[in-house]
Amino acid sequence: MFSQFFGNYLLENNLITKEELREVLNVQEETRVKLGVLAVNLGFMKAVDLEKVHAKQATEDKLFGEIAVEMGFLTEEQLEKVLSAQSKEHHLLAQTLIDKEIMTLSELEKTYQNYKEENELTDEEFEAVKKNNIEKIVDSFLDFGSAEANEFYKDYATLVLKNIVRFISTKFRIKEMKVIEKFDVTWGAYQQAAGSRNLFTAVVAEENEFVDFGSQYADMSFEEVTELVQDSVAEFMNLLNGIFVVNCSDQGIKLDLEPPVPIGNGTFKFSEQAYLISLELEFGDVQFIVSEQLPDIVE
Amino acid sequence: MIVLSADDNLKNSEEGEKIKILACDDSKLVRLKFRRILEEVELGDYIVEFLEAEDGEEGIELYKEHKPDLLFLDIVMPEKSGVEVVTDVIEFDSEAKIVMVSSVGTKENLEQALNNGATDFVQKPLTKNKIENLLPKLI
Repeated sequence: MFSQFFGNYLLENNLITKEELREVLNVQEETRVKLGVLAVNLGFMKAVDLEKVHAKQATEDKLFGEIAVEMGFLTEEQLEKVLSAQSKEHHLLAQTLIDKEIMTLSELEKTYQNYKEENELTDEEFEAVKKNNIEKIVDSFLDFGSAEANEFYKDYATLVLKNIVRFISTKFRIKEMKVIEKFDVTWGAYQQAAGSRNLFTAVVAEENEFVDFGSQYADMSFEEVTELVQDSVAEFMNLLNGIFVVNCSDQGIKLDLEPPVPIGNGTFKFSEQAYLISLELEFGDVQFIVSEQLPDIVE
Repeated sequence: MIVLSADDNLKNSEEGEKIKILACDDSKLVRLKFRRILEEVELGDYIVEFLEAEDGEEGIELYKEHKPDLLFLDIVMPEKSGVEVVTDVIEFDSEAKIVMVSSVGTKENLEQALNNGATDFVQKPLTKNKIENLLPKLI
């Protein structure tokens, strides 16, 4: 993720060409330390189990971690540890930029400094971004105004990003966040909850991105919008919001979740503040809408 | 496990214990995924008759008609919630084995479902691992 954030910054400031960035990201992918090797090195898995996972991985289009957990070789906690050990992505990025002679080390240092200043990041926040700490990324890039609203929405945004990483795409970039009053939806799914607070949430996208999003979550390959694609995107929302409602309940906020609803060609009209968070994923852009106000929905 | 739909004709040559599983979830995708997981589960020679209901009312209707060995029930559904369905099913069959499958594992939901007579709870998303751990306890 850091590569996407920082790579984009390099691109915007003409410090790197698109082709160079693509090459850097590809090289990085290849040099990425293999999760399985790390899991063995950390003593969580035996080499023989690693082979079993690899054999299974050859027949299933799933991530290593997912299979290892499913087969009972790694616990979720161990997987987290392996992933965080692996996520020294920033070292790889720096190394690749220098190896490819795109920048010198001192140029890179200077660019890091500028990046920090322009994004108003403290050293600590910058470290978090480099280490892909989602809470800190949300904290550094999103601001929802008043303290109380901030906490509620930031918790939600953090959960969105964690679930994006878990189910949809490990590469994402927060493109922008803005306040909206009205939004015209091409394709999407929304879900509401009522209780001691209200909650409206939606994920929306253009057709291709919607299909890709649904394909990723369902782990199936779809070509066009079908009932299954809509169900898949809706179920992603349901899962995300289910976790959020449980977290809220632990904090004494009671919310009753309604079933998620797919929508095609409609409009959300808000009379109070609603936030739109645009994300760039591997396959394109998707937007999340979150508000404490239930909008008028026109279909 | 071999998974058949209700209207598939069972061949006499098929060997193995037969179990009926009813999945009640308003999402077609979730039902499809569940069926695929059951097909992949390795738990001996069970032959599963897989029944699907897309809402609570249909779930209750199919339960009464087929008396499945296991009912997997979503909580957040339109019209009738899963927690309400538990009450109706238990009223009809006090021995019913009902597993709640939901993304919303709040204490209130769990307590209410278990008080109403549900047997177990599984957090969504369903995975092969979760089903393999759960089924031996129930069948």
